[in-house]
Amino acid sequence: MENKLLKFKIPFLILIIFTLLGFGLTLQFKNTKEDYSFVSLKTINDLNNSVIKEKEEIKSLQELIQLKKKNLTEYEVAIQQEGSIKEVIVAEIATMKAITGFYDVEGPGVIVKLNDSERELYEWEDPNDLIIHEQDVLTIINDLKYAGAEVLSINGQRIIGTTEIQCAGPTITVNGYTYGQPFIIKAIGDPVTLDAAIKSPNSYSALLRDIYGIVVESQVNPRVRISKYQGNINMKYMTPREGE
Amino acid sequence: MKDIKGKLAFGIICAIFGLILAVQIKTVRSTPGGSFLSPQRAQKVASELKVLRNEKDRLNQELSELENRLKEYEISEADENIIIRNLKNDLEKYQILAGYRSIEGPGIVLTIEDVVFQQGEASFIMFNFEILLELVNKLNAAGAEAIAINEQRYVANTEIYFTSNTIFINGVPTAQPYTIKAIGDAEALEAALNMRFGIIDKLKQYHNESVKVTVKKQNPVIITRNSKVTNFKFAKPIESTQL
Repeated sequence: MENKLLKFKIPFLILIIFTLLGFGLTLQFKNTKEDYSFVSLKTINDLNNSVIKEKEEIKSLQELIQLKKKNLTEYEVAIQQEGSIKEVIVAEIATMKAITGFYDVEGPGVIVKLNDSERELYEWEDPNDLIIHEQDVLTIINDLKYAGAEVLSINGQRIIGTTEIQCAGPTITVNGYTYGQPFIIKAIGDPVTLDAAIKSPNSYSALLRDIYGIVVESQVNPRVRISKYQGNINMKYMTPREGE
Repeated sequence: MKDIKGKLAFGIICAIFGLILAVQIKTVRSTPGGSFLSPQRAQKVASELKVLRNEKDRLNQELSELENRLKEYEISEADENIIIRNLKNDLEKYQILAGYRSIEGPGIVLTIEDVVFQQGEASFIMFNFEILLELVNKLNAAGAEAIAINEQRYVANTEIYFTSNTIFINGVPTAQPYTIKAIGDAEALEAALNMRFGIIDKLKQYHNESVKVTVKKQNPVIITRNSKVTNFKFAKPIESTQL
C-alpha cells in the first residue's frame, strides 16, 4: 500500500517541479529580452552625460536669449531716439573685438615666467627633460584657462582661437612671431584661482618645478595689460551658414 | 536494472538543464556594458532628458525669433545707409571669429577613439587629454581657420579638462569618439597631421593598441555655433588704443 502511494507520488512531484522550472525559465528569458537588456551601466552613464550636456546648453541658451533681448531693446531705443542703430552696432563690435582679441584689455591677473631648468643634469637624465616644450606651455595655458583666465598672452602675443604655439629648441613661435627665453605668460582673471593653478602642489606646473627644476613662477598683479592680436585673420575658407 | 535506467535518464536530463541554466546566466552576465540596473532608474533619467530636450527646442525657437527680429532691423537700416552696412559686415566677421555663428568650408575631420574602453571608467585618451590640445595646436599651426571638438568650437578661452571620468570642453561633457573638425586648406591640414614622426604617427607607433585615429578630408565641414556667451568679469577694454 505504502509502496504504491510512493510510486504515484514521485512522478507527480517531478511533474510539479518541472512545471515550475519551465515557468521560471520562461519568465527569466522574457525578462532578459524585454526589460533588462537595454538598461546596462553604459546606457545609464550615457543618459546621465546627455542630461548634464543638455542642462549646460539650456543655461547658455538662456544667457544668449537674455543678450539678444537686451540688444533688441537697445535697437528699439536707439531707433526711437536717434533714428539709427549705428551707435548700438559700434558698441557691439567693441565687445566682440574684446572677446576675439582685437582690442587691448586690462584687468587683475597673474604673470607667469617660464625658464629652462638651471640645475645640473643627473646621470640618468635626458637633457630634454630639463627644457620647456610646447606641450608644457600648452598644458599651463590650458590650466590657466580652466582656472578662469579670460584673456591670455605669451610674450605679448594675444592668444586667440587660432593661436599656435611651436617650440624650436630655445625659442617659441606664437602667432608667427618668434621669442627667446624667458617665456612670459600673462593671464587676466581671478588672481587667486589663477595663482593657485600655478602654485598648487598637484598641478602640472608643480611637477615641472619640483621634479625637473624648470622655473615656473607666478606673480599676482592687480593690473595686467594685454595688447590686441597683431596678425591678420584669414577667412579664405570659411563662410557663415545662412539662417544660423 | 529498470530502476537504474530511470535514474540515469533523470540524471542526464538534470545535467542538461543545469548546463542550459549556467549558459543562460553567463550570457546575461557577460553582455557588453557590464552589470544591469533597474529599468526604472533609466526611465527616470530618460524622461528627464526628454523634458530637457523639449525645453532646449523651445529656447532655440525663441532665440531664432529674436535673431530674426534683430536682423530685420539691421537689414532695414543697412538698405538705407552704407555705413551701417559696413558695420554690420564687421560685426558678422567678429561674430564668426567668436564662434557665435555656424560656419562651413572645406577641411578635415579627425576621429580619435579608445580601442579598449569601459563605459564610466577613465580611458587612455582621458588620462592623456593633452593629445587633444596638441592636435588643436598642430591644426592651428597648419593654418586652420576654425576648429571644433565634438561640436564645441575652439575659441580664445576654450579649456579642456578631465574630471569624473569625462572630458569637459567649454564646460560641456563629451563622449567617445572625439571628433575634431577643422576648416582650412584640407591638403595642408592633412599633411601636417600625418607628418612622419608627427603626433599621429607617434600615436600609431607607440599606442596602436590603445588609440585609433582616422583623418579624412571633407567638403564642406560644418561647425555649429557655440551657444555659450563669453562675458568678461575681470578684463576691461582699454579705450586709448582703439582703432
